[in-house]
Amino acid sequence: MASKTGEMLLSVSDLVVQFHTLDGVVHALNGVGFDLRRGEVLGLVGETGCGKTATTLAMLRLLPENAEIVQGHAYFEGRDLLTEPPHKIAKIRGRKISMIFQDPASSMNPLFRIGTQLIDVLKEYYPERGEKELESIAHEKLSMAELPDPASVMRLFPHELSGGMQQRVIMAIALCSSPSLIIADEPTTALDVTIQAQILALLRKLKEALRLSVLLITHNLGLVRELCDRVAIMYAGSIVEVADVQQVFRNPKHPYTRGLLSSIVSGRLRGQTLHHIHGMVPSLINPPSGCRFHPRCPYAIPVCKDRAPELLEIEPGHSVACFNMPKEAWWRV
Amino acid sequence: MVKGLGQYVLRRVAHAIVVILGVILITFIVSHVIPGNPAALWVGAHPTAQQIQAAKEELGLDKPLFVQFYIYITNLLRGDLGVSIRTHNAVLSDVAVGLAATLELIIVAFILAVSAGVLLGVYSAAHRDRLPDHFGRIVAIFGVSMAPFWLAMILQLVFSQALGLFPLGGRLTSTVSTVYPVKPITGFNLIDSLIEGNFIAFGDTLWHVFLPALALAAYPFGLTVRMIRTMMIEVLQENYTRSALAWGLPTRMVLFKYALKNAVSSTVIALGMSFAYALTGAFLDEIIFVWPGLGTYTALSILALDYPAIMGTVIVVAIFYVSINLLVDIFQAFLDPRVTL
Amino acid sequence: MMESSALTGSQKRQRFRDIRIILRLLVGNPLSLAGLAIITLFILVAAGGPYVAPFPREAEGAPDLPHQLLPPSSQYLFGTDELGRDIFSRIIFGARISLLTSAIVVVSAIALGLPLGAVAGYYGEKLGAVIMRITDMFLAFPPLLLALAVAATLGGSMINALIALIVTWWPWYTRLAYSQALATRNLPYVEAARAIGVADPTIVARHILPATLAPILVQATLDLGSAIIAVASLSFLGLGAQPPTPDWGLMVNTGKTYFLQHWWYATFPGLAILALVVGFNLLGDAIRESIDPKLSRRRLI
Repeated sequence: MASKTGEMLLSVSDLVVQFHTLDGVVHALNGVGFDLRRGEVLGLVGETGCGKTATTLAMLRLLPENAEIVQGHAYFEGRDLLTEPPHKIAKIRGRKISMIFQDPASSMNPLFRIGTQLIDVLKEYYPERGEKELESIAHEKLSMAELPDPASVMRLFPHELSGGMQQRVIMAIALCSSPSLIIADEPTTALDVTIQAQILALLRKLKEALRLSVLLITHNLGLVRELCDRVAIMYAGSIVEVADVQQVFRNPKHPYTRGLLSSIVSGRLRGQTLHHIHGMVPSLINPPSGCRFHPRCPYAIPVCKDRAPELLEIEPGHSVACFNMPKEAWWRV
Repeated sequence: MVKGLGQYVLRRVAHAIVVILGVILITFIVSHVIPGNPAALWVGAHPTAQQIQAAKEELGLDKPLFVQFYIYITNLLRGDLGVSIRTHNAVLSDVAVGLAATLELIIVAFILAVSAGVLLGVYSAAHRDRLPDHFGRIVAIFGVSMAPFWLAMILQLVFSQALGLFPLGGRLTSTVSTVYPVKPITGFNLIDSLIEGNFIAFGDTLWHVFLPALALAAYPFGLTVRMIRTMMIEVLQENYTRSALAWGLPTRMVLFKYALKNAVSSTVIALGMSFAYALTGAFLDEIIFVWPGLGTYTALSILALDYPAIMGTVIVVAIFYVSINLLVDIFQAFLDPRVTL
Repeated sequence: MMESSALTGSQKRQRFRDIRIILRLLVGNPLSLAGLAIITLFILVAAGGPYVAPFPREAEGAPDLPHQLLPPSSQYLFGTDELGRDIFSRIIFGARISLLTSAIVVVSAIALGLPLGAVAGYYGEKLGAVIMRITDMFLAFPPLLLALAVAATLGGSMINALIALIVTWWPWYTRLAYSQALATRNLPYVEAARAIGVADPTIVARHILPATLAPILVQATLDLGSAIIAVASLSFLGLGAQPPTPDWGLMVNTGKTYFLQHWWYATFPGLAILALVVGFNLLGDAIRESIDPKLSRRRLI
């Protein structure tokens, strides 16, 4: 599947975010940039702690108080999300950009019924509609998320639902206003494997039916293969590779990506030693100089310690941030 | 969900009954077992041998302990708390009258304390570690640090004596109570006067209750601010708060409709406890403002060594307090359905 | 004993860092610093009493009738009482009483309540249930009320008031220790200790008790302030300190009769109570914030 040629929906560039903690300054995001086109599903892949969630929170300005957006741009529908005033961002949240979080159980207020929370959200989006209308819209959204008997669901409290149903409700809420972009942060990680498959199927169905644009954050490569059109691989606060899904699996270029993919366990490897990437994810309070992967990289050369490589396009739709890329690419700099 | 609540209520009621039995046991031990000569205490200062003998028989003090306890409990159930040495009334009727007056004071104080406390607590939490928060925390700390009787005296000194804005004490001005008397239906002047349309007495009572209530409100106010602030800060960090904001809900709604409810359900317990302080604080408060409630009654009883009155008050107030806590627990379960699980 | 009690190098470093963070939070926060300053001031004043007070014998009770009920002046900073005694000196002597009595109450209550609660929480089931039922019954009383009943029964004196308060307060610590013990009991390292055969009492002493320390410490600091008010309240009712003791609560009580015409009498002892209690509350709050991990996470609004 070649990358779609839809218009540019979201364009993030040079995003630098720091967290001021008691242990020091955490350099969480180190110049993150990627593009997302209308109608495509972009996967943001990386290990826990590499900055995937921080990137999305920064865009919606939901970062904690000790976070600082040092620089960067996030253009969405002509506006820079990082510099818009708070009241404008509040209007974008949920309406234009919806976010689905990782743990559905803790993502809803336990003291209020599903219906109450759903209707409150709908009232925000459609202030001129009446109570009855809002109720039927709510039912419709719940059905869209394949929840049987929406009327009963509305009367329940979040803890009275199973994990899978909770996540469907969250998705229904995310679709309430037909947003242009959905950010899904590890939507299946907290669920059982069987439920994961169901949610996955639902996501795929919705994506096709509603032509959704999705920024999918995950560390699950299987999910990436099933859902994504393009993938951006993140490591320690930087994007190291961006490619179509097929390109990434067939022809990974960045040493980290290759390490990740080789670590996937499958029956073919029976009898062989399991592959792993040597070393550990670095602390972001004192990150490695230059390319942040260089201490663990089997291909590191001296320049890797001095400068951080930029993302350069080595073939159509495929960019890598590594000094070891084919020399032809360098001539395009 | 209703079934869960019903079972929870039953469990809590059963628990409360057990606790009340324990309370009665403890007061029995305090009044019958601890003193060297319980009869002497019961009869009062300078008892004659005859009085002591009569008391011994009435209380069954020459019988074994559990017989005494039996007599004690049966008396209680009959409403017989003894006769006050000072007023010569049945202690129970004295206490009933006094309790209503004290409750009136406490309720007004609580209304003041909680409404102001919630606002300041939410405000403080929303501006955490910035100037408004420091202000809120300092005010709250002063609130809980003042000896209630001292605050009462200062308020009386400044607003009654010096500025003459409020009366020095009492519940009704004597002229008002003669010309516009309040018929004691519930024992609460504020309610009784409204029932009869007696607005003059209503206003007069409000005017009298304001300062004592203000003095009494300081502690629960401070406690409310601190509890709400702490709970709100915790709630504001929760995932569901982040979700609510991500859905685009306005900050005011997220704070006051959603977060507050999460915070309140834990604060309710704290308010129950501060009710306890309000009870004892009211005792001290009433003495200063000569408010005709249980506090004044107890203070006079202590001065007169009126032991039956003291113990009678203690037991009634304790049982009342257990009941209030029971109601608080049920209310909390109503607010937070997870408690019943 | 098979378990090792030595800390590894990295554990030691971690603890050192934790202590540094806690200290920094305690001292770096202006409110907690103020609390510490106030308490230190009062302790110094209490210790140095006889040397700091301008009229030490009056403070102990010697009357000075010609100077009755004088308003504050340069000689009598806080005025004099109805027996002509210097209130400022009496307040200084009273500091010692307040600090000592509140410490006695709190420490005794902890000594009684903490072990009970830890045992109840650790052993659970029958023993724990019985202990907690009894604790609940004591907790059912509004705090001062039970103290009032006990003090009235025993007779009015400072010692009886203290006994009454200890009897009333121990259950709070039992409950606190109980819930902490319950939480700690099932933690993996406790189960591991049991599995390798560490005796129960040792587990309680080594693992359960230390886990209860943090919330108890917070509660104790705050309670020192509450105890001062409680003792003052009992004295105010006539059930605590007796004349001529320079107890702050007693002074406010005696001052009740005079203060409407002589405002200084009750105001200054009450201010002393307020100041010291504020100090303890500020400190207690600061300790609580510094050890509570939940309060230092993220803020979104």
